[in-house]
Amino acid sequence: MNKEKSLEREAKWKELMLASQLGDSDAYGKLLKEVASTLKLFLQNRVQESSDGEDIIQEVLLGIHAARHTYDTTRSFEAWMFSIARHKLIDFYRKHSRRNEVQLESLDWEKISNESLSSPSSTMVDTNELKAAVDHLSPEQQVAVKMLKFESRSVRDVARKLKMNEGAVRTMASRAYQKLRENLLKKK
Amino acid sequence: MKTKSDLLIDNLRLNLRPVRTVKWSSIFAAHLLLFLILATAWILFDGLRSDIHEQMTDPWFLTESGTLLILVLTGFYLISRWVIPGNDRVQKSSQLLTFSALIIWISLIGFSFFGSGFHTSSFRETFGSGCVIGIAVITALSTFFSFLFIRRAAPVKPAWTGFVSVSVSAAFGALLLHFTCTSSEPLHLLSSHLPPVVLASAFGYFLGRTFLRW
Repeated sequence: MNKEKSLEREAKWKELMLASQLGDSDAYGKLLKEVASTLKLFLQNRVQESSDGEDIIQEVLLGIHAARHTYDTTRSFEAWMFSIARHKLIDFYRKHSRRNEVQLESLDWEKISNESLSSPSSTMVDTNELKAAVDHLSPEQQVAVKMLKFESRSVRDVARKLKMNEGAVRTMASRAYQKLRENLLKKK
Repeated sequence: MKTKSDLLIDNLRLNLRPVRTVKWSSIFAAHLLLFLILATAWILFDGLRSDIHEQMTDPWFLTESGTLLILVLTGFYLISRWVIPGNDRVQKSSQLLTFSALIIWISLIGFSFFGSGFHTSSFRETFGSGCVIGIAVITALSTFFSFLFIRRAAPVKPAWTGFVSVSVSAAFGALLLHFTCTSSEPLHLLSSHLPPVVLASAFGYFLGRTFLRW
């Protein structure tokens, strides 16, 4: 029964991926949503913090988007997708191997992005501190952090805006988070 | 309320464009074409060694060249399979063949040096900076184009892909030099052909980690 379900799912994903490669955005959205929920299960026992899990899912989704031209529909979609997931998981932990006590990643970015940073009514001390810390970054780093974390834009969008490649944007963002952590730690 | 992943999915969906698929076979073919173009260009530039006819009947020369050729071809094949996600775990035989060929080639040079009973000319006399530069130039050119091809795909083992790509490019340089360099002196091979390949291979791991991440 499980095998049947899994074969059915594989066939469905292959079909959706094929349509996505041809530019069908609805099929793509559906595929990514299903992949994201499968990844949640995949990561449940592999990551310690839920915020990490969310970040890794996003990295994997971006990876799938960037590598979608390498999927061959005659081969297994799951093998392809999990190969990217493993790579991104390893990459994520390599990048975050030297964590500080203050985990910037665990801040509620969703909440912060919903409250306008420029609004005076947003009197949360953390938000103001964070805004001040962001202002100390270089202009490119500020753009990257704001687009990636406040506006939930993709790395590709940021790369396009800053006229850099995606790898360089990831490296720059990672350095910016590190700098933010250090600045926030100093204030404490 | 939408999660960050949901927002990202919406963004990706809106930015979706049709794509042309890249297959491992096209990456392999591109590497073979690079091999042919660089080999032809180098032989036209440097010319074949004058004793090539004699060398072609020498079993030692043929064994060394054959080992390097196997290393280059299996290496290109391995890279082409590794850069397509989902293929990375099923290439044990080609991994074994590529790494074995590299070790066999290094051992062959070692054996020929120690087998010659150390009756070789001095290091200074046999060292050929031209060979070192030649291998370095071919390695750099081949690595540059190989990385361009690899970056069109999605290597899930960037560091190892870099290592193999640069090793193979350097072995390719050594193979070409085998046909153009007039010295078959074991000490010359040990001092001028082997070190660039070994150094480049080690460097390749870091190049891959830096330039092949995506």
